[in-house]
Amino acid sequence: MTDYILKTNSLSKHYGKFAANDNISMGIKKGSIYGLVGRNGAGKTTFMKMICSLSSPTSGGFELCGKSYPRLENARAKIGNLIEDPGIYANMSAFDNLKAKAKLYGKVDENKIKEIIRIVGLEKAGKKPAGKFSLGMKQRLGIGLALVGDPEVLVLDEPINGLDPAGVAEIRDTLQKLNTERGITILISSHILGELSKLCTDYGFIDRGELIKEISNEQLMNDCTEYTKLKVDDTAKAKKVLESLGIDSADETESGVLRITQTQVGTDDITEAMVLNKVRVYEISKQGTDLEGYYLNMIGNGRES
Amino acid sequence: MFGNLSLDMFVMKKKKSTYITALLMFACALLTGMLIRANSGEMTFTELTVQSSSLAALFIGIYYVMFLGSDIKNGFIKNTAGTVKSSMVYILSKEITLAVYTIVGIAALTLGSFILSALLLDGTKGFEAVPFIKYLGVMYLLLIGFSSFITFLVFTIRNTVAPMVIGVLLTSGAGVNIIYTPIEVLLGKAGVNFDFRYISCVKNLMLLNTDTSGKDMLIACAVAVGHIIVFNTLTKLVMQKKDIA
Repeated sequence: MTDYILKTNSLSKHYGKFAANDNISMGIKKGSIYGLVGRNGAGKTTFMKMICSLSSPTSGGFELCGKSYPRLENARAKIGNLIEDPGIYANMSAFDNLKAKAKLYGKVDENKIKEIIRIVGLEKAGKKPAGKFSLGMKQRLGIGLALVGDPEVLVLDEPINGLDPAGVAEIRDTLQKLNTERGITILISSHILGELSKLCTDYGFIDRGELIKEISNEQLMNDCTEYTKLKVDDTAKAKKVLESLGIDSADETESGVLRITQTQVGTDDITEAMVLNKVRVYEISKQGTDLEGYYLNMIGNGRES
Repeated sequence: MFGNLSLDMFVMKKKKSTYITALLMFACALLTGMLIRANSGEMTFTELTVQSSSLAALFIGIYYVMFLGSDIKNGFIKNTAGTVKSSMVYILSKEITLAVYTIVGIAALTLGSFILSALLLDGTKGFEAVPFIKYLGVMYLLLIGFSSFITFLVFTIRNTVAPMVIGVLLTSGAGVNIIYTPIEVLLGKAGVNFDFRYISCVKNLMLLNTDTSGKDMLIACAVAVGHIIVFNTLTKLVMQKKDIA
């Protein structure tokens, strides 16, 4: 039985007649890295705020670490979040910001705070007030604040905004280590879909407040892998022709359409073989895409709102 | 609760405005005393403290807004408010922290009055401890009640500008004179005898003196306690209804 650390049940958030989130039912497995994909205004941040108890649902509910909303009890303290801009005290150093949050959990362990500073790469910040940090440094501090209190779940809303490529790679490595070494479950959203695809084990696609699809990374890789799409009038006969060409794995994905993942035989040869064997070919094309292409195809070539 | 209190106290200690406001509270008496001295007036230590208290209330009211609004303004509330079991824990932690600070502020004011009256005025001539302590106690309670009102404004309006303006207007006396008094006069003309003293901490603060009657002091305490209960409850409801961030 799958162990979910977070499960939502028809979770909705309405502002008047506007449905920022509408009937979202999804699950995040313990120990996974879940990528929330959606364009601006799709409802990602609204969803994350509800999970982090920063916003109350209009209807529906969720379970977090075995507790049901609103009686989350101690489960609330198991989430660390970075939602929108990092919330920091501009007059305090990185160390003091982290110490402030650590006080919320009781005893302050200065070694742990120094460890968090090291993890997010702010060792050189020293006593500099956080208000004078660059955008990237503020983002790192925001991630650091989310790590205070040894959370079981990290909710990160666009955490790599403002980071340079080296910084993005560092944060990616950090998140992967936190996931694999400490078993922290991560819910992350980002516009940089290429980065998400390097990190996530599962994805949820959200558009206009609704969850359109959930998919694992394996399924996504499978769907995104290059393949030949062949639309014919007789799939059974076409499969026999393909077998004669040495292609033994052709799946019928819909009526009259075959998906051929073995791409060593070119489309010209396949077409010729079909014609010679009197199989009518309506369409043959190379397909395959990345996460971005997959997402854009799903929402129908939508532009960012 | 202890965690929230520890955090709020730590943040308060780290703010420059904490020390500046305490200094200003100390300076209130000095400023007031120097003005009196310049006009060749005489005033006892007790009278000087009372006279300075309205200016002190203005400064501490500004501090309340700054302290309460900082978490919302800088977004730190996102790191903390979602982790507490109840929003009342979050609110009470802020209130208790401000209650502690108010003691510091009143102590600074009293110290400033004492030093100035010892140096330039008649010292503590004619000083009576019991009425003075009663006065300080009621003033303290009224300031806490006022801080509850400010907390409600800050968390409802979600910025510091409007609460700051309202706080300054009220504590400077302008609000009382511009709003309360005309309303009382109009109601009086309509045959309704209404005194804002029964619902306003600030009006009670302005009228409070060491020779205020026991009955009026009780009314002031009741108004303060009423503010604490009503406005903290309203703030909790607002936090439940509105998005925290």
